[in-house]
Amino acid sequence: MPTDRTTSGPTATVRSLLDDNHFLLRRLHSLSGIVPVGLFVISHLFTNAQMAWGQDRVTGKGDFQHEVDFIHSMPFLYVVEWGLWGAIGFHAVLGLWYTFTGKHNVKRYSYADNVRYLLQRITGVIALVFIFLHIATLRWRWDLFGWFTPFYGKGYQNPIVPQAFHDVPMSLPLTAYALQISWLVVLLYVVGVTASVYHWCNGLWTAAISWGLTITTAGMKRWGYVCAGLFVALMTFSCAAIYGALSFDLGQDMTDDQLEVFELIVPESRVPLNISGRH
Amino acid sequence: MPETHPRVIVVGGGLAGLAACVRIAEAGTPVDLFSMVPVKRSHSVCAQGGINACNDVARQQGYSEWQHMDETLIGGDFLNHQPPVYEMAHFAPKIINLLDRMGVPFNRTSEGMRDLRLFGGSLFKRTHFAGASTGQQLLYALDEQTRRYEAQGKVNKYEFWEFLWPVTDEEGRCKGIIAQDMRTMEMKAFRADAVVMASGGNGLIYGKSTMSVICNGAAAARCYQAGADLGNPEMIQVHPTAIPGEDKCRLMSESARGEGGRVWVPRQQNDDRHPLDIPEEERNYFLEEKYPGYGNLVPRDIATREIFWVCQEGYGVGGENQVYLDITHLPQATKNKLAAILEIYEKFTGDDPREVPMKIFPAVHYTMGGLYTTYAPYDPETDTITPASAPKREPNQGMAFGDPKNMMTNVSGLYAFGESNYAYHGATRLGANALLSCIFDGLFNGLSVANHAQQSGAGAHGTPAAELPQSLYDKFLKQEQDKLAKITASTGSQDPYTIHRELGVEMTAAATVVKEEGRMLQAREKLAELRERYTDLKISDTGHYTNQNVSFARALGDMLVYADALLEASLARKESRGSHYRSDYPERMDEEFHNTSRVAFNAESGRPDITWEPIPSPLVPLRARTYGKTDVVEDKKTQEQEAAAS
Amino acid sequence: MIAPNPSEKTFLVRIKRQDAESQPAYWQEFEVPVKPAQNIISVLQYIAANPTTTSGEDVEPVVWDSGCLEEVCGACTMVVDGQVRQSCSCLANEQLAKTGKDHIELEPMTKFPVVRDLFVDRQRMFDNLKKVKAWVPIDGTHDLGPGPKETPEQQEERYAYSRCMTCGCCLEACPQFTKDNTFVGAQAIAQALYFNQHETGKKLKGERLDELSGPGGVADCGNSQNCVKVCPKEIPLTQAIAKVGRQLTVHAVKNFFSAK
Repeated sequence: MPTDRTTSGPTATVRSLLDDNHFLLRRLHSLSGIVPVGLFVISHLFTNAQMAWGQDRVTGKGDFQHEVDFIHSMPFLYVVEWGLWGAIGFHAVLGLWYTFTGKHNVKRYSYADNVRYLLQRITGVIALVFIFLHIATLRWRWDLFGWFTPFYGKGYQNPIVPQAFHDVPMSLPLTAYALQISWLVVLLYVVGVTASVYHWCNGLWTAAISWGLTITTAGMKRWGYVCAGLFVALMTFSCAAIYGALSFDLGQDMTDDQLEVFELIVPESRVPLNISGRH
Repeated sequence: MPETHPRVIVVGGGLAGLAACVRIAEAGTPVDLFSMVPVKRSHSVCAQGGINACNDVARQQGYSEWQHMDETLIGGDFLNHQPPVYEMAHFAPKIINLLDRMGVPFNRTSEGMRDLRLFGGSLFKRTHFAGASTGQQLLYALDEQTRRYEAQGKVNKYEFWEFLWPVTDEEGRCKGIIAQDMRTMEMKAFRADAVVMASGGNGLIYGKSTMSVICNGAAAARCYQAGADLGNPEMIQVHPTAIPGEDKCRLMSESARGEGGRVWVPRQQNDDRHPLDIPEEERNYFLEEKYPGYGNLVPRDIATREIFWVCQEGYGVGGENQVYLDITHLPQATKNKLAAILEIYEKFTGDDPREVPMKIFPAVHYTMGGLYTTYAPYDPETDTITPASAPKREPNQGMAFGDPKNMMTNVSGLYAFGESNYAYHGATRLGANALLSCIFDGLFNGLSVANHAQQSGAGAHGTPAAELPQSLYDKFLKQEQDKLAKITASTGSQDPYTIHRELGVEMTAAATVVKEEGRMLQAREKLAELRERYTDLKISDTGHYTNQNVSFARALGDMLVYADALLEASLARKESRGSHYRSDYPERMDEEFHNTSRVAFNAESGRPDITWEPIPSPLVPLRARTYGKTDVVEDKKTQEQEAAAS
Repeated sequence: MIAPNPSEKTFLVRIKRQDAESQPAYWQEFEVPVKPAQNIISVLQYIAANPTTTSGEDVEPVVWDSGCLEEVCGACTMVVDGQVRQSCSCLANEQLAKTGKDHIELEPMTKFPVVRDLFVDRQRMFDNLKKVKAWVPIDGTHDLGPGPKETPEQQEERYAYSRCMTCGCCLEACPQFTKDNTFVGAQAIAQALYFNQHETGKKLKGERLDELSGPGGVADCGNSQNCVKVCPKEIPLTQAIAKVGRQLTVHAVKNFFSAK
């Protein structure tokens, strides 16, 4: 009945290492999902939501740009970034492994909680894929078979941008472009963001049980309302961000400086820029 | 399994068996525990009410252990032995304390003390309870302690193993058992220096009873055929209100009547109208009509008999053995109070008793008789346990603690505990005394078993089991293998399930609530016929793996043997006593029958031989079973009711 | 033997059979006459006495496990129409009405090795009780006075857990409990809590929590909460899991700072 433990070799060493620290790993898994990743995602979504307010027509500045600037001004940004990667990686690897230790049975037991159990695992995988693509295309600026939507907060971050444009804020135009490039990307963002937000909120709910915070059915229920509220709030932020990105008219809403930098960074824009009638 | 000496085998993992395991293992003797089911699923879980013991509150109101003993004796119509009952009543408070320490969630008072409830046969609150599932809670507590010993290697469990036969040496001493794994069908001989039978009751002889499907009495019947006598096998307790089911009968608590439930049948035979469509004047509230004073609250045995008779006369609902127990007229508040028991009815019948009258019928509930056992009465001369500073008891006040004779059958080394032991309940068992007697047997007499096992091999007790020749065990093993092979190979025409159904119907009709010579003679014929048909079995499963068909067929043979003894003892006891009611001999006749019916199996005829063994009354003289105080109260009530009616 | 009377109303029972754990499973169908208040056990008893399939084949009687038939012993757990439950309290006509089908499907529990047909081996549950030391470490059976006092509220909570009959419904429905992993599941966790709540039982709390913090322990729970919904005794299993979770959190923090 219990799984066979091989008695020797490196697998056995890893195995026993995992077994000996079973509880710690499980709790760190829970913690890594909530604190670093979760808190980052909240602030990230909050920042993005400001896209809905657009930008100043003349200076190209706005709340969103302000937030991005703040983030980029943070000390040890790389440490934070790599810390996040570590947390996500740790959470993802263990999460995937845990997912495959269970065997879902929603077909037989279609209780709401059980459906959420399954969703938690599915959304975890979706979120992982989404986050990877999101980072790969925007942060790492990969060109995935023509899917090229690099992100730069300001002109100076891209070496090909001349000195004169170093201070040009580019957050909103480039983010808008990233989404407008294809309806498939919009779909990816809608699904990916929903999955990530769900995964975090539901995870928050289950973590309260695992850690022994909510120990009565009534407590679980109350905490469930809080988590559901968080889900709604975060989804509102996300919708605002997507709305902001989609409603930004790349042809008309960019400043002249932004347009120049944009054409330098994205020489072959896949989104037709309707610049007729620009002032 | 290393064969160590001494070793004890316990057969049955209910309260008695587990209590025995715990006590024997504690005494340092390893135990092999055999059970047909995982012990946690034993029939003890079904007991709901509670467990009796004298306690401080009752004591300060004038109650005592002595009175508990007295109630048990008069309840049993003096067919029980007084020293064991004395010991049980006096040991009971210690049992409650122990169970309490084991963590049984007894109901509590606001001060955190154990709560008590009033139960039949007493005017004092002396029944401890844990919700509505006391038996389950007690069994689990003992199961947990047994598991603890199991984890320490002092108890070995053989679950899903069926006891087949006791192994006896040349001098007839019990030295082990033959048992079979019900899954792999592996049959094996096991050595032991003492064997405890704690195999429970035999309700399955009656087809449907309130007992579990495992309570077929086969284990006791096998010991009986191997030479252990039965005591009072005719004493079977019937509960007046049970829910007849296709598969079994389930208890319906008497509180339904206590709260105002009315018992009735349609005046017209086979009236197939919906009960609520039958107008009041066409209903026969037979208890209220015959007993205007007590009405539906007549004593248990009267209610049982009246319900039985009305159905015998063909007035049962739908022509079947069932009458209405109607609570539909009660106010909602009362229905709410009865919610727990009404839900049980609804769950198992699909009918809502708040809307439709319940259908109920008496059902066989407990086996007071069982394997005949002996004991060593307390003797102050040989008492080495009581501290010198404390006063010693009078002779016969209890049993000699640890004496190997206690609850040993007439086969040396073979013990009978719990429901399979005949000793404590006489002709009727008091409510909430069953759990007590089972645990008492295990805890008090467990030491006797351990002592016997320790002494085994010394002098009169023969050779230690571990040193006996293998050929002895092989002989018995072969006997059982041959028996099984014969059954497996039978290609006759008789289906065992059909024979069992007919046995149940016949025994229920002839030997439960009302017994009468003519009917029982008829049943004797029927049993002979069934025994004959049993030799021509048809076995539909001839496999050699988890063959329940063969196991059942084998047990059926033993049930037929036990039924025969039960019926013959019922015929021979020409008096009415406790639960044994003879319509042709309605009086208790102490001159002739204040005796144990000791039934020995005659191996030549295959039939029972009955001898009458006098019962000494060293502590309490016989008196009529009138429940004096209760009657006064009830007479007063009757008078009041009559006054109100006039 | 007794063919169903043609005028009698009947229904079909499909049973998943298996001769042993190592053997392949197969289905057989039986026709059973409708009777009032007939539970699955009565249906199986009928089939045992009339082991002929609808295709007219005489087969070996179906093997199943049962005991009290009152839903207190925990023996007769089966998967009825895809859902785990006690078969004794499952009435055939109600089940047919519930599913709206003309047949009932019976399967053995899927999380335990099959002994034969509907009969499974739940030894793992009893072994888990041993693992979590589900007992009160009393000093012995001698007369040492009463046990610890407790309030009616404490008793009520413990009573709820003490009604667990080891039937295995919670484990069968649990997506995290599988045949080949080591998760102990709701049953053992709730029992650990039951004993951790007892004044004397507490003495082994540390050992129980150590066991439950290892592989197969509480942390393997996936919070699907199926256990509490299928429990025939309505034991607050998810609360038990959460409470043990809290005990483990505290235990771990204490251990971190003060263990040697």
